[in-house]
Amino acid sequence: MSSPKVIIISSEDERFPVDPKVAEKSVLIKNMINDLNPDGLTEDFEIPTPNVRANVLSKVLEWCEHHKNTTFHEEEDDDTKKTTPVEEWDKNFLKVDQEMLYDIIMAANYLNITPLMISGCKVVAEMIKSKSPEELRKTFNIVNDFTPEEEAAIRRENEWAEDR
Amino acid sequence: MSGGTSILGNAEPLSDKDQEAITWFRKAIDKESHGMMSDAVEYYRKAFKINEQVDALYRAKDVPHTAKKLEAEGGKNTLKKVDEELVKRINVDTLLLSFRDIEAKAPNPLEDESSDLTIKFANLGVDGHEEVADVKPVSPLVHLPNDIWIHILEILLITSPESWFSFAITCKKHAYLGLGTSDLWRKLCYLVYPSQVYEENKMITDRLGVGEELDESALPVPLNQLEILPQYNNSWKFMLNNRPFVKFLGCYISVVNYYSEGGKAEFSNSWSNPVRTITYYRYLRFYPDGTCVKVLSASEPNKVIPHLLKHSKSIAPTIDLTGVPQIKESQRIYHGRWTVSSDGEVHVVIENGSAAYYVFHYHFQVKSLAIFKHSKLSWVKYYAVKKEGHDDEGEENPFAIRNEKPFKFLRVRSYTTTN
Repeated sequence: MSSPKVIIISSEDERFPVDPKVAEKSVLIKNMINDLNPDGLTEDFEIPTPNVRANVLSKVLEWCEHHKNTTFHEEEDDDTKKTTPVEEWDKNFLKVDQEMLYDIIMAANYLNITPLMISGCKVVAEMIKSKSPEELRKTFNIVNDFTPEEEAAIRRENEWAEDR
Repeated sequence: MSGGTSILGNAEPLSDKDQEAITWFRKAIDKESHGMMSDAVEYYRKAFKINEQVDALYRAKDVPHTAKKLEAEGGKNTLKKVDEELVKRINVDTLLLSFRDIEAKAPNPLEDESSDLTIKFANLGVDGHEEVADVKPVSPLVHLPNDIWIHILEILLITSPESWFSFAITCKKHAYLGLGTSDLWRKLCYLVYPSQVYEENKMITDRLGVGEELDESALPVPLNQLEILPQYNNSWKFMLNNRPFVKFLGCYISVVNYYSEGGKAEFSNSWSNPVRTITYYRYLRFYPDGTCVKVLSASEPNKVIPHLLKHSKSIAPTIDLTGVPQIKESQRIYHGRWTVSSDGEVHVVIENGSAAYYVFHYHFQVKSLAIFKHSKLSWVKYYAVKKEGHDDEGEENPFAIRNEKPFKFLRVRSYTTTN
């Protein structure tokens, strides 16, 4: 008999059986397993994730599978975590359209997979870097809704703070 | 026509003569902006000699191009003339808070007055779609929850502070996220103040023996920023605005211009003596570990800045035929130490300066330069003290600071806190 699996169920009721080691990259799932099975899994364990669609879930699980043996240094201080560049594999993995990137970040946030959430945030930060305000408006397809006076006042009071 | 075409737009091309005149004029502007007045005057003279109206020519050719470029980067409000009275009456903090529940809007090509037809068609061209009336929604990323956006903005604040501001000025919603919440101001305070080397604390840290543990509670300026916050109305933004600090991600530059009167040539019947303007620069760069570098040079910032590094000894490193590094005195980078007092007086000490028997001391006050907070260093005093083992040991020799000019901070993107 094979070892028990964790079966994660997407919003469309699609079932994704994975090794507990893979599923436990999600702290949310890990805590659920430990709380309900204090002596370890003896049989398959189902977890519904009603707000994650199947295409997103499969993508997130692909990340968990790839990183099942990676140890993330939780104790590292906050700033180091934020400044180290995105790891090459994650960077390629996150080369997706804006909608999928949004879904992955939201799912990682909900499932509590911090390293994936941080990689996603860094990819968004990279999209913003070295762009002018007008280029950013194009990137996010938004309009400048300030009056000229509002924009001038905000610039005068705050822009200096980018120099430090 | 958008971009790509010549800077002349639809005007007729310049004649070779005019081209030459405008080239001298541009060079002159560049020199003037660097404070190189005598070169600037010489180039302006050359330009006007070729064409008396070179200034008008320049305004007609270069200015519209520059303006267009600025607008393309900054957006619809960049070149608008603002009502100064109205701007002054705006309470920015209240304004930012009023953006809290505003959603970002997508451009609507049918009603958007700011984008002219060129821009609309340029946008459509990118992905080849032809549906003019189709309004694309905002990027899904715009809908990420606020706490995730704050996380992203913190990453930017640490790694690319300009991008943090550029994002915050895109629209009302983003201004609220980037500037209206206390999270990012707190982060900024934590990036700035714990890296300062406080004069008041130095007395205690200097006395610390090897292996001895620092008693943080004994420090006159606490490391825990929360202990200081009440002095600043419990507002991180207020603290950043009002508590002086030394900046690390750039350098401070002082441009000194002075005139020196020369002698008349023999048999000259000129009434006045020839006058020469002399320009030199002082450069200072600080590091959070308490070290700093100092250069005094006639070289312009763009030649010095790339070499003003912690582990360099010269701003123009050269190697002689035998492979020995050569350092000219005028290009030497001096290494020193600095502290700042809690009221913003910076003290720079250079042990190995231009005279071996002196220790050089500089005192500056951190000040604001109009809207640029804490970005000026004004001279307080400058003196040298004779080192031990020399005649008149300990004697203080004050130097005149009358001709010195304040330093202005210049952000340099390639600078980190350690390079």
